Formats: sequence, C-alpha cells, structure tokens
Amino acid sequence: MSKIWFFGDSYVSFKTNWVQELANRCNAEVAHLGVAGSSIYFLLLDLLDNYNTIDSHDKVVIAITSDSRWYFNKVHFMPHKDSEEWILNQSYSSEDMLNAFQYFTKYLYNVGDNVKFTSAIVSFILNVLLPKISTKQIVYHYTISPFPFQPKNNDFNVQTREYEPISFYEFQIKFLRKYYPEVDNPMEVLNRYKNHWLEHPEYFGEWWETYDLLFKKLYYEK
Amino acid sequence: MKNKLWLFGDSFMSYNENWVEELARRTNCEVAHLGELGSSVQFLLIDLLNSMDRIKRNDRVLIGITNPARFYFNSKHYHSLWIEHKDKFNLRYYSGKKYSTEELNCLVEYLMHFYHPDQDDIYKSAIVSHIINIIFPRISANHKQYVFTIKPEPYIRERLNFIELRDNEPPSFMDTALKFLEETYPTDERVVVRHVFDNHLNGNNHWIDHPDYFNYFWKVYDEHFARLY
Repeated sequence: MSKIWFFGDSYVSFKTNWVQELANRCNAEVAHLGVAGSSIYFLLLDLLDNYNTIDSHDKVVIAITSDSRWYFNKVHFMPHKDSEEWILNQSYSSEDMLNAFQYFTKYLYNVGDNVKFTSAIVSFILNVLLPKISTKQIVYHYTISPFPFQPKNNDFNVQTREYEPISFYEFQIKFLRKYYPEVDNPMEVLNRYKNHWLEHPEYFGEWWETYDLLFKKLYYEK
Repeated sequence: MKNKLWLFGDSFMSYNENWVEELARRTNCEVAHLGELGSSVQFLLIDLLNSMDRIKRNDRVLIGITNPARFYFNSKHYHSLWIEHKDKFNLRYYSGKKYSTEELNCLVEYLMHFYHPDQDDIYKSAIVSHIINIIFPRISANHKQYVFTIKPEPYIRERLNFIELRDNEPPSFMDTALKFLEETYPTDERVVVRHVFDNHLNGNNHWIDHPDYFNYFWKVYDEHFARLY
C-alpha cells in the first residue's frame, strides 16, 4: 500500500474527515500529518526532515499556511492576542518566550517584509524542493490565502497556477455565509473541529465539488 | 549617457571606491546602487525586489551574497555578532545608528530565546536559493553575476544541498582577502575573524590597504567579472 504524506497546518493535522477520505480515494495510508498552528518556516523544516524518505509511489499534500506565523526553538507562534494560552501550552514554551515574542512583534516584525521572506521560502519549496521529491504525485494548496505570496505586478514570487481554487479558509467563509449567516467570528466556529471540518450535511459534497479537480491527480494518476 | 552598474549586497560593496570604482571603469558604467553595511540576505531579497523594475537590459548587475547570521528587522540591519553576550552590545556597531534601547533589547531577547543557527541557516538558504534560482535569471540586465562575499559553506552543508556551486564559482571576497593576508603576512596572528577585520579589513569595502592588493584582487576576479564588461 502506498503512503500519503500531509504537510502543513491545522487543516491537515488529524487523520479524519477529508484527510482520511483523500487517503481512501488514493488507496494509501496516512504516513504524516501537519501540525496545528504551524508556519511556513516549520513547513520548510518538516519537508527537509522527510522528503528523502518519500517513495516514488507515495502521494504528497502540502498545505501552505499564513505568512504571519513563526517557529522558534520548537515552539509555534502566531501574533493573535487570543493565541497566548495556546503558545504557553506547547511543550517547549515558557513565559520568557512569550514575552520575547511580544517584543518581537512590537519592535522587530514588519508585515510587508515578512511576506517577502515567507514568499521566498514558499517559492523555494515549490520550485526547488518539490522537484527533488521522488514522487510526482504532489498537490499543494493554500489553507488561508494565496494572495500574500502572489502579489500583483510582481512575478518574482510564487507563480499563479492555471487552476487555482479558493483557499480552504475562503471556502469555509463562503460556506458559513451561506448556511450560518448569523456567525460573527468564523475562526471561533472553525476551531471547534478537527482539520476545521464543519459538521454540516452539505459540507462534504460542496467541499469535494470544489477540490476534486485539484486532488484528483493523486487518485487517478498511477 | 552611461549604462548603470547595480551592486547589491553587504559591506564588501557599499562604497564607490577601490574595486567598485574600478569595476565601474571597466564596465564603462556609472554606479547606480550599492550594498549596505551589515546587511543580510533578507535585506538583499527586499532590495532586489524593490529595484528590479528600474534595471535596464544594458545595465550591469553584481549581487553579493553575505553570511546567514544577520537579520533585517523592521527596516534595520542586525547581526548576531553585534551582541557579545546578554546586556553587552558591541557598541561600535551601533554608534551613530538609530537603534532604540527597545530594539536592542528585543534583539537580545530574540537571540536568547529564538535564534537557532542551524534553523536560521536553513531559512536563509531558502531565500538565497530563491534569489539565485528565481530572481537572478529574471533580472532584465544581460550582463549580471553573483558572488558570495563571505564563505558560502553555511548554505551548502549537508541537508542544504539545494544551492549548487558553479563549476567556476568565484571565491568569496572574504576568502580572497584572507588568502592574500596569509600569503603576505605569513607569521601574523589571524586566528579570530574579528581580529582580522580590526587590523586588516577595516577599510571601505573591506579593501586591504596594501600596494599589491589591487592586482591580486583583479587577478582573481577579472575572469568572473568579465561577463559584466
């Protein structure tokens, strides 16, 4: 049985719902999962740790997350006020690290520059690292938004694909607006579920309708 | 009107003097852009992205790729060596520059809690790979070259075999300077890098003030810079 490797963030961090469904469609066992709250920086390290062990018959899904996250000394960081507890709950975290991170975001972090740094890393992953993986059955997609990595009038970053479905998060916002127009804080709802998978009878069908074309190379190509 | 010579990089190419001035003469160009003292490959990326649109086909471009142990945070350059240990800044690097106490304290916190040289080298290698493989080929100038200013080894060690040195890779500026010093001052103490900088490489562009250095430098780089002529 071939293996399917998921790299990325919370959208690919549990072996259930769409992750398991994709593995079933590919007739593959899940060999690797993403990490909730992880960053582009972690994605790069995780890929470098594993790409050599991926077999030519395996499948790979790369979920590209937001630009504004970091990975420092085994701790994942994101700059939202309500993520402090989550940061402190990580094994290698400490109050000192949280304080250092708060200083970092206040005095050293620059949004525009960081987009350029993470875009370069995404470009490296897509253009240099992926071709070195022995399987050709690789699909990548953006979990939050592709736009920071594909700025207009700048063809030096990540290229737009011919077929670019909306990001997982954008799909969910669209779905929530349609079926739950009363929801004010989508992330609060999405954070309740593994892989942010919404429990709604229409969700499975609409999700696969949106992404089947993107993922089908994994289950049709031999 | 002369074509333009664009130099992107660090302190090895931050003054229109000595070898830079000579390169402009040999290429018959006027210097339009210089590197910045203490800058990082993060800054190099941003500087290139900000300048790409203004580079013309007949211009010349030379990119200097620096050491990974530097940072570009919020429009300012920082260097891991600029702090000797907690609470002790190497003040000569900060004198006359607009760093607030908060920024310097943040850098200390960053280096203490977050900086992991191996991981940071990986991030910087990805940026350098992006510059070499994606940006460099798309620079519209026909005449262009890149060179490592300091040893390229941090970018090409095991696990980071994504940056391939070219068949005739120019030696780094630092290696050339050190080799010259070894050959010229064989008994001198040159154990510590900072000592070398303090005593021999403290001139503009780290140019060595020695009557033989000009010829030595151009003997090494003439063939590599010929594609700019």
